[in-house]
Order: sequence, then structure tokens, then C-alpha cells
Amino acid sequence: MSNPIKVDIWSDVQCPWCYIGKRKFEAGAAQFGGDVEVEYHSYELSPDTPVDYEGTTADYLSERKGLPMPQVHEMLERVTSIAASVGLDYDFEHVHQTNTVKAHELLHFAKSKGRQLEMKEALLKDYFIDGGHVGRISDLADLAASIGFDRDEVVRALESNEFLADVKADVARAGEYGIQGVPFFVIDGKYGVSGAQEAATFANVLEQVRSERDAI
Amino acid sequence: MTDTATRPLPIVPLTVLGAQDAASCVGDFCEIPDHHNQVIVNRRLDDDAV
Repeated sequence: MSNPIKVDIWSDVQCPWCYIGKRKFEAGAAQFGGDVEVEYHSYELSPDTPVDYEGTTADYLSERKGLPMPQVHEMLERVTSIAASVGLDYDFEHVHQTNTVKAHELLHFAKSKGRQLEMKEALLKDYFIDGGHVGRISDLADLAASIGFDRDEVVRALESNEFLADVKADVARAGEYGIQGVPFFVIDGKYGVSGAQEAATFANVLEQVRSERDAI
Repeated sequence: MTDTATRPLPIVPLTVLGAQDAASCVGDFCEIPDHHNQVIVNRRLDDDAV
């Protein structure tokens, strides 16, 4: 088997472009057709958000940015429409804005079990599509259990902050790379691709890496 | 595409590729680049909304 191309992705669970970018990256990797290994890394866009924030995404953006509510709704409609173009049915009316640090800890827990990609997809779907709460330990444990993890083990890991240091290490590493926004893709440890790029862009970068390897 | 275990990732200066105006979230704000407007218009045309 060939040596897979490693792709490290910095992302936050409550980042709408991260889910859209995930779909575009997956399409690009499929176009590329070679072996690709993916590892997600934590990035907290809004670490000061309370877990039990009361309000919708629109409320949050309006309060934080001082934007008029009609403008916020227009922005969310536009993002929803773009998400639909890649097959994602965003439901901002039912999104629970929250703090995502525990969700990131859960992603590290899942990584320790070799199932991070599955957990990442479940978290994004829960947050943007199913109206789930990804900030509370009990809800996160339910979600993890729904895809086959041991609920009690998840609760213990999250209550003990077992993976908090891993989350913070990821955030620190993002800073070392100079990452200022997400999603951010580091391909083969040397190419940086920022944002929800088109699938062809990802395919082209992966192909470039393969060509460089073949030339050695 | 496969899952992977954590491996140390050496920090080297990255060569940045791709469009510079791709959509991303910075802080608690997620910008919508202008080129996405065409996507929206196309979708509305598909939906017979305009």
C-alpha cells in the first residue's frame, strides 16, 4: 500500500464553513483517488461563549457584532443556501449556540479510539442540522453513545478533562502555524489551504503532493 | 480516506495554495465572499425562486 498523504485539518464544530469545507474536501479527495489520512485538530472560534447561551445564532451574531437582525438573517440565509449546494440542510433556527471545548475533548477521545472522523461528522450534523446541543457533557455523551461509544466512559473522560490539554495543544499549534481562521488544511505537512475551497483545489494540491513524491 | 492516529507534526513554514478569498470563520464571525453570491443565484434559479 502506498504511503498515504496526511491532511491535518483545523476546524471548529460551530463553524459553518468548516462543515461546507469538509464536504468540499471529501469531494476533492474522492476526485484525487489516492490514499489520504485525515486528522482533525481543535480550534475554538469563540471560547468565551457560555455553555448555556440562551438564544439563536441570529441572536448571538446580533449581540456580538451589533448587526441589525434583518442583516443577520440575510447572512444566515445565504450560508444556508451555500450549504444546501453541497447537500447540507442547515437549520439555524434550531442551532444551540454554545461553548465547544467539550465537543473538542470528545473529538480527541474519539481519536484515541481511532474513530475521530465518525465523531466529527456526527457533531457537525448534530449542531447544524439536527438542533443538538454540543456543549453539555450529557448531550455529548448521548451523541457519542448513539454511534457506539461507551457512554459512561465518555462522561468520565469529559468530566475529568482528560483531553483538555490536547485541545489546548491543537489551538497552540494553530498559532504556531499562523492560522487565523478555519477551516484550515495542512497537506503533507507543507502546504496550507485556507477556507472552504472548491473540491478541485483540494484535488489539485493532493495531486501535486503525489507528483512530488513520484519525482523523488 | 482513513482515520489516523496522532503523529507529531513538525512545524515548518507552509506554502499557501488555493484561492485567497475562500470562505472561512475568523473569531466569532464567518464572512461570505462575494463569489458565493453566484452560487446562491444559481440555486434560486434551480428552485424557480427568481
